[in-house]
Parts: sequence; C-alpha cells; structure tokens
Amino acid sequence: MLSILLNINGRDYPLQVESNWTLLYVIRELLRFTGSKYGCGTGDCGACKVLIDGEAKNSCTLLARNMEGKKIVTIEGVSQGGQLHPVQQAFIDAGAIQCGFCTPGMVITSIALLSKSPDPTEDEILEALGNNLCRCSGYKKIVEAIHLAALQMQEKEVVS
Amino acid sequence: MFSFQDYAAPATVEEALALLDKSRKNRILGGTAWLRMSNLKLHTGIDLKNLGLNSIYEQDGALQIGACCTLRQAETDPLLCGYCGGLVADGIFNIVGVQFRAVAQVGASVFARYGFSDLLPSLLACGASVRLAKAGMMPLEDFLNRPFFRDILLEILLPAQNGIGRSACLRNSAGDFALLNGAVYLDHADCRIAVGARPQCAALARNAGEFVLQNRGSLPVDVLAERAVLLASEELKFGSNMRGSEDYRREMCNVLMRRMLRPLLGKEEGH
Amino acid sequence: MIGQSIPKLDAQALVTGKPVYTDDLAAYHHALIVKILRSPHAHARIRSIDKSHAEKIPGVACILTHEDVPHCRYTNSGESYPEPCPHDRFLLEPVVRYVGDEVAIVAAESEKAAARALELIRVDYEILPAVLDFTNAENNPVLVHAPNEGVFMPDDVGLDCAHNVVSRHKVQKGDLSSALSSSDRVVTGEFFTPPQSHCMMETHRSFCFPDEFGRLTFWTSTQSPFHTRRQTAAALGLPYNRIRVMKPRVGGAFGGKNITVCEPYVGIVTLKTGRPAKMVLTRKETFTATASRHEMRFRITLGASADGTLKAVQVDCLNNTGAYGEDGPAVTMVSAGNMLPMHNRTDAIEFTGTTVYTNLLPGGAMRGYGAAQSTFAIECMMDELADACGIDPIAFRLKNCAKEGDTGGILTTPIRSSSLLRCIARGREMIGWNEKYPVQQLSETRLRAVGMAAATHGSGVQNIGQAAVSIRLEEDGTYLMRSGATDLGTGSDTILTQIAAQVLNCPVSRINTRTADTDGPYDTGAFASCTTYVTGNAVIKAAESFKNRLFTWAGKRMACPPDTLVLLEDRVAMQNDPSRFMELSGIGMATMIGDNAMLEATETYLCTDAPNPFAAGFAEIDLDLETGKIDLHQFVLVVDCGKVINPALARIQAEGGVVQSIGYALYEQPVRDQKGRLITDSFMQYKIPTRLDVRNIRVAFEESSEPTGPFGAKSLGELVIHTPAPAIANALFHATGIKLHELPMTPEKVYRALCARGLNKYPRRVAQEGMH
Repeated sequence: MLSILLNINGRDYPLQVESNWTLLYVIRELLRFTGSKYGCGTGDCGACKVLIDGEAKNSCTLLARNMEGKKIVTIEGVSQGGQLHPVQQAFIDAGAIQCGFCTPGMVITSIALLSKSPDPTEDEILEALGNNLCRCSGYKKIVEAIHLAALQMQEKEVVS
Repeated sequence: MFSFQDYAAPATVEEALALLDKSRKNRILGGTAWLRMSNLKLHTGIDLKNLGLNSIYEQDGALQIGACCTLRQAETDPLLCGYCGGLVADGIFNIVGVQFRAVAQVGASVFARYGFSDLLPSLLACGASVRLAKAGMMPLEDFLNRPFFRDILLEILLPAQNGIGRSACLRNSAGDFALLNGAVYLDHADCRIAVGARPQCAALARNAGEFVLQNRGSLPVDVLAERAVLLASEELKFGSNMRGSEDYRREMCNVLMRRMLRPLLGKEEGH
Repeated sequence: MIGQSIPKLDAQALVTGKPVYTDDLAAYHHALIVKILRSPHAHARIRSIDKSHAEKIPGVACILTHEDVPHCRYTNSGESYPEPCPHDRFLLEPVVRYVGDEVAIVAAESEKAAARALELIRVDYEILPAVLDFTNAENNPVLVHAPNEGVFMPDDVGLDCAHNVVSRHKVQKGDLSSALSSSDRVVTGEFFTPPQSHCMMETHRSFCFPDEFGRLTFWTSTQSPFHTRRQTAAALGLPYNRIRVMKPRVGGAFGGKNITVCEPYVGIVTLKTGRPAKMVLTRKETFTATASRHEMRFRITLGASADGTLKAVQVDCLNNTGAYGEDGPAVTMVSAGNMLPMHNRTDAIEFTGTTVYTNLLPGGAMRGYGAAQSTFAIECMMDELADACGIDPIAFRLKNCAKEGDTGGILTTPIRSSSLLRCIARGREMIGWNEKYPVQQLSETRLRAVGMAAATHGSGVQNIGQAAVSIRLEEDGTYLMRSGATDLGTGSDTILTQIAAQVLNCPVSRINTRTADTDGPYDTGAFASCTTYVTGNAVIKAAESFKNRLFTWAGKRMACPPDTLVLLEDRVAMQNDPSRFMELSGIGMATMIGDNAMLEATETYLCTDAPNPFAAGFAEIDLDLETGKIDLHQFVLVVDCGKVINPALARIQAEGGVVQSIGYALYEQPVRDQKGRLITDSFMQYKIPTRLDVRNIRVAFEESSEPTGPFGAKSLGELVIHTPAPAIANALFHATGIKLHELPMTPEKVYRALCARGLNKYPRRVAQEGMH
C-alpha cells in the first residue's frame, strides 16, 4: 500500500492505495464520489470521466498513484457554490438526460470542451464526444445541450 | 484490466532497460491505452515519463518524435502538420476519440505493431526509422519485419523530404478499428505505398512503389495508378477476421490505394 | 399538464451525480463482493469442483457450488403468470450449457480476494458436443436439455426438450393456399436477423442485505421488481414474503434487465452469510452472460393481385432462444402479434413459429421483442412485392396497411386510432421523397437513394399487463402517489406524475411519486411498452377514485353534494361559489390525524386492449459503389403514439430508438467463434453508434386519440426501433436492386451483392404508378 495525496474538488485527501488501483476505484469506493460511473472499465464508454488539470479523462484507465499533484474535478465538484454549472443547467433545459448514467461523463467532457473552445463548431462537439457513449438518447439532445451551454456561458461573460 | 505488483518510473534509459531485462513479466506502460485489452498479470509496470521522450523537434529538416508523445500531441504539432502535406497527422485523426488520442502514446502504438494501427501506414510511407535503446537505429520497415524482441522504443525519426502524402481507411463504423487502412507518399525520387489492418500490421508494397517510379511519365496517370495498386494487392498478404474477409480486403486495397495515388500522380502531372 | 415538456423529475439528481443507482447505494454498506465462475465450454458436465485452495484466500467469505445451493427449478424471465417460459434453470447445476454459464459463486471482502479465489477453483469438465447452429437445432441428436429432468413450462406452448423445441406458434386467417394461387404476383425471401447486444450503459448489478426482520432486501437494476421477486423466490426456494425488491435509478435496460440475472446469486450469499452482498457484472459479463436479442430466421411469401392488393401473407419464423428458454416463446408470439396487425386487411395470413434451444447465449427481451426482427423481414418483402407489381412502395403501403376502424381478422384489439396515413404523408414530405425517389447519381461511384418502412407494435400485453396505483392526501395537502412502475431512465415516473397532476388539477411539484417496490402496489414492470398506457390508466383510475373520496368527505363538512365540488391546486371548492372552500392542507391534517378517514385510493387497471401505435420511417442513404459502404445521410421518423403526454421525453425516446436500430442495421454484430464463445465482448470489439455515426435524424409526431388510452396515449418505446433497418435496406434496393436479406448491412456484404449484379452502371429505375 502506498500513501498518496490527491486533490479532488478543491480538497486534499490523504489515501492508502494499492499500486494498481485506478482513480475510478479510489474515488468511488474510498471517497464515495459515486457520480463517476463504472460502465466498462476499459476506457471505451466515457461514463467515468473526470477533469484532470482541465482535461476530460477516463478515470478507469488512470492509476490513482499517478494523480498526485494534479487538480482532479469530479461531477460532484462541478456545481459552483450550490448553483448548477451552466452545462448542467443546459442539460436539464435541453432535455438531454434519459437514464443519466452517461450524463456525468458527458457533462465533464462538455466542460472541458467549452473551456478550450467557448464557441465550438458542430464538428468540434462531435469530435469531443467521440469517446462518450450513450445508448438511450441518440445524442441529438446532448449536442443541443452543449450548444445551449455555450450560448449561455457567453451571455454570462458579456453581462459580467 | 491489467494488474501489476509493482510500478517504477526510472530516471534513465539504462535503469529502464535494467528493469525490463529483470523479468519477462515486466512491461513498459505506454499511456496504458491498449494494455487494458489484455488480462495480463504483470510484475513491474515501467513508466517512461521521466526520460524526456515527450517532445517533437526538427533537425536539418528531419523530424524526431519522442516515444512518449501522445497521439494528440502528434496530431496537433505544427511541425508534423506541415510535414509532407500532413500525412502523419491525417492518419491519426481517424482514430476515434480526442481523449483517447490524448492518452495513447506514439511509441507504444508503434512498438506493439498493432495490425489495426492507423499510425503505422503513415510512418512507413514516410520512410520512418526508429531508435531503440538496445538495438539502436533501424528503418521502421525492418523493425516491423523482425520477430518480436524486448527493447525500449525511444524515438521515431522522419527523414527530411518534401513530397506529399495521403492516408485513408475503411471502417464499418466511425468508432471502429479500420478494416483496412493505408498511406501513400510521393516525391520526385520516391514512391512508398503502405497498407495496414490487413489485418496484419502495416507493410510497404515495394513492387508497387518501384513500378510507379519506373513508369512515371511513360504511362497515363489512370493506368499507372490502376496497375500500381494491383501490384500492391498482389504482393501483400491479407487475411480474414471478424471485420472483413481476405478477399474483400484485397479488393479494397485496390480501391483505397487508387483513391490516394491517383490524385497524387495527377497533381504531379498538373491534372 | 398533458402535452407539456416538463423536465424529468430526477434530472437534477442525475446531472449532479447523486448516489441514486444500485452500486452507489451499495457503496455505503460494507458489502461482500460476489463474483461468478463461468463455464469456458458451450456444453459440458462438471465431474468435480475443488474449491479448497480458493477457500484459503484471506477475505473469502464463502464459495458455493451446485452442492451448496437449493435445487429448485426456475426461469429468469416471466412477465405473466402462468408464464410461457420453461423453468429450465437451477441456480447452479453440474451441467453447463453455454460459454458463460454459472459454475460457482464466490463472495469475498474485496475485489482482489474474489478475483484471486475465482482463479483457484479447479473444475473438471467433461466436454460434450454442442448445438451451435440454430438452423440445425430441431431434431439434433445433441440435446440442450434432457427431456426427463423436470423442465416444465407453466403455460405450455409446445415444450419438447427431446427435439430441442421450446415452443410452437401458429396464427391463421383465411385460406392461404387459395389466396396464393390466385395472386398475380408472388415474392419469397429468406431473412436472417442477428442477435444484438443491449449495451445499456449501466451493467447488470444487484445489492442485497437482510432487513431488521430477516427479509432479503434488494436494491437492484431491474425492469420488474415483482417478477424479480417471484423468480428469485423460486430459485432460492423461499416464500415471496421473505423477499423485498426495490429498484433505484437504472442506467438503461432496453429489455436486458427484464431477466433475473444477479439477484439469486447475491441473495444466496446474503442467506448463507447473513451479510450484505453486491454483484456488479463487468461489461464483458453483460455482453456474454446475460442475454441478447433473439437471433431469427424468417421465410416469407407474399402474394398480391396485379393492382397491388395484398392477398396472402405467409411467414415462417425460427427463433434461437439459446441455452435457456426464458422469453423465447413470447418473442416468437410477439414477432407475429406486433407485426401482423399492419397487414390484417389481407385475405389470408399464416404465421408459423418455432423456438429452439442451442448451446449459445440465451436470447432475451430486447426492445422490439421479435417484432423488430419480423418487421425488418416483412417490410423488405413489401417493397419487393410492390416492385413486382410495378407499383410505388408508398402507394402500395397506403393501399394495404391497416386503418383506423379496422377490426376482426387477426386483430385482438380493434384499431380505434391511427394516423399512419398522415405519418406516411408527412414523412414523405420531410425527406423530400418525390424529388429523390428512387435514386440519384451523385458521382460515378456514389449513389443517393431513399427507402421507407411502416411499422406497428402494441401498448402493453393484453389481459396480462396490470398496474395498481395508490394516491394519498398528505397532512400538508400535497399528494403521495405510489405505484410499481419501473422507470429505467425513460422518464415514466415523470409522465405518470404528469397524468396524476392533470386529474388532480395541480402542478407536479405537489405530487411525490414513489415507484418500483414490492412493498408497494403491484405493477407488471417496464416492458412491452406498457408503462404509459397501463400504469397511466391506473393512475387516472386511482386519481378519480381519490377525488370521489375527497369530495364525499368534503361534501359532508361543507354541507353540499359531492358532485358540486371541484378540486383546485390547493383546495376543494364549490363549482358555482368558489368563496366556499376547504384548503387541502386542512383536509389532509384532519383526515390523516383524526376523523377516522385517511384519504387514500388504490385502484387497479388490467390492460384488456393493447392498442397499436404506428410509425413511418424514411431513410436517405449514400452508397459507395466501390466499397459497398452505406452512409446514412438522413433519417425521418413520424410517429403515431396517440396523445403525446410529454413531447420532450417522447422525442428523445424516439431519437434513441432510431440510433439503436441504425447500429443494428449497419454494423452491430455479435460474433461467436467455432466453439460458441462470444468474441465481441467489449465496446472495443462490438461497436455501438457514437455521435460521429449519426448525424441527421428528424422525428415528428402525428397525434391521434386512442379512446382506451390515458388522455388518448398509446405506446412509443419499442415502436421506434422497427423502421430504420428495413427503410435502409429498401433504399439500397431502390438504388441497386439488391435484396440484402441479412443484417447487419456491412460494406463487405453490400460489395459482394454489387459484384454479383455487375453493378458499376447506372441505377435502375422503378416504374412509378399511382403516386398521390
């Protein structure tokens, strides 16, 4: 067992982990951040995505021990001061949630995308979502939600 | 999923080699994107992150790509994007998932010689070489033809040249492995035609390339392209797997290669 | 309320990642991890199992083999009672019948210990010959289930283990041979539809703990808590009342969780150890050891008169139900029952269906339930018959399809509502059919073509689908509604609340909806597209009944007849004098706490009709003549599901169903090796559509009003999956004359067909006649 320190959602967590534990396992089983989901365990479905230094990554293929010194944000840490993140609100407003299992991963990917590309083209959105699978919705509403979020985030910028 | 008992991130290539030699159950971890495919029980996973192999730089027109560069890095690097018409970046783009490409490493993709690799045909068509810790420098084609040996891939080198290349692939669905892929490179002195996902890993169709060089200018472009790709599909071996049959791959080799070669030849002729 | 796109009531919890799914709830308990040792052989007898080494691993709580568990026959499916499902399973037994079949159960304190223990269990198998080809299963000398070992079917529809037959089904109307012989045009075809993996994002998982009274209590990812309880009780030899099943949020199912997969295994561990236990199937196990869509073969003959009147429909269906019977017989029946109504106007129909055992992954319920497969086959044949008659395919369908008012024949429910004709007209316009049919040449190597298909389904299962709903007035004047309905992510909790809110004349925020608990009212579960129709009707019934009680009580207090009262958002008032009222909060407090009169109504609705929804799907494809690759350029779906209760939820259901069907049509294919092992056991090998695969899908609704439906609604969930595959195949047919009778339509298959027709030439044109 190794002693590591992980920074998750703005807080430091000292943890005892095995060498081969994935970040997903640690955040769900040790820390009860169960918003990130186990959908495949092989990095194919995107249900486990978290932000690592602002990039969306599959936590099921990341080793927990390698995540020291990185800024990790899970879906639990995405809402700001009790308020939904604009991407989360957009998913609700656009009706882009069905079973919800892929939703946290979709939200994380969307946040990463919009932080780099505040006004993404359709192609950029499709590219970004390539690693996020959804079996319920057919994706259309999810793409609409991202467009909506981009719009709302830009308006907020203009206003503030 | 894979599991290993121990993990190391050595500071020098010598240390890394020593660890690798210590046990057959020690493996290099290359972004771990593909290692997850197997249920290996490893002893020590060796991470090369401290060896400074994650940059791309130019020297006298030749490009050196560190083995730890991610596919995404390679795809977006301005040097690589400008090299031979973006041939290498082009092939990488077909690999689905920006986030996947941000994790998978170039060296691992090459060293493992995956048949489905979308990167290998482009590199072969470039005439790439590889530098290994033990075996030293060798042409990529030689590396792929050698039986598997344990070593550490350090760098991929692309020679200085100023022709143009194209890559192409055929997939059953956007997110799938290619059922056939390939790349073509052409300049005034060289023609390299590489075909991959045969399903075997990429190989150069040497006879086809030679044919183009010898008959350029003396045959109409259409005929030149048709005959060259026919030679390619004849000289290379194909096989069947669940994505496609041997016969289909051979016939699609004709189609894909012609679609790349014909415009390149035509460009040359000013067509 | 009705017709409003109100957001899903659970949207906020889901988008913020709250712990509301099975494994999230289990995370708060110190549960034993349960894993299963699975057979590597398609058919084998277990000579011996040695678990002694495995038991020594520290952290192992128990290891169970067939010698340690109850020996009770059960089925893991069964939507009705008595069920037409063979009870052909034991929890564990010394015979394994497909690669993945359960051999032993391991429970340990950690993943690591459980995985290690699995490796150390030694099994000595005697490998037996296996039946791996369903077209060869009937009368095969190798038997999947021996005939004298107690396999039985409560509702026996032709079980015959001695011949590997699970059921036989026949539907008949009129005189087929005379109808065929008097037909001017006859077409025949043989079709193969493959299995399809559900690929719901949440794998199967179940969590069990003993409650304070020693009952086995489950939080489990299921489509039907009541059926799960019944099957688990049978498997464990327990009375029903020692088991409680609750369904939390579920991450998708599509039929795949209509079977009791994990529950008996975690249940037996909790029984034996007294401890909470959980089982989370890996993605590989969900692919290889649960179920997949039934693989089927259809042989179809259609006959028509020269003017395009359909006269004869003959369908023979062979259904591969795999190693265990489960939904097989019902799927065979539904492949007829939810497809034939479209063609009821024809003179003669004969449907024969046989369900067979093989040593392969069991077939299980999957969205469409046989009708998706049979609709593909028959809609392709309809186009071929239209072509043989020289008639436009749309005109052919308009002429022959079932219409509102139809009754009799093979219809068990009259068609009291149908806007199919409008669906077809609208879809035709949306896709630009007139300008594009049949085909255009985009370049020397690319064609663009259009094709269409029409489909129907059912709403619930006639005389079987039943739901009970309770509505109670709380002390604060709000409502508690309890039902057994199973929201799988579809939003049924939201829709049922909307329906209740409509009857109770209040916003949804005044209603707390609790569902899917066997300690609550019964519901048949989420399958057969029944929730909106069946449970929706039960909600209305319960809400009306509640209002009667409310008005009766309030009428006494207000000294006026009950029928002069109306229910408003927060009060009961006199219709003609709103100044005379009682607040609901006052009524709630009074009736809950004193007055001997808690206001609650419970009503049950049995689905005596299963009204048909309808849809028309239109595909526009691009075809690469050199590679055979089909790219779906555009798909239009127009749906008649009666009254649309929640347009946003209906739309996303439709879009999702279309995408699932596109995968089925073009590239989803489970592949088995020669020993019967499924090699497409990961998302890497089995590709489902990503966002990059599906660009332009448009959905529209043409409302009708179903008199038996809640506010006129019919079902939607499965209907939407039927049309893409045949519409794409028909577009290919129009482009090239190719009749591709096998899914998926991969580039290689299309290419071979192109070569067989020597096709590098200009496309053929279909004679157009009688277009409206």
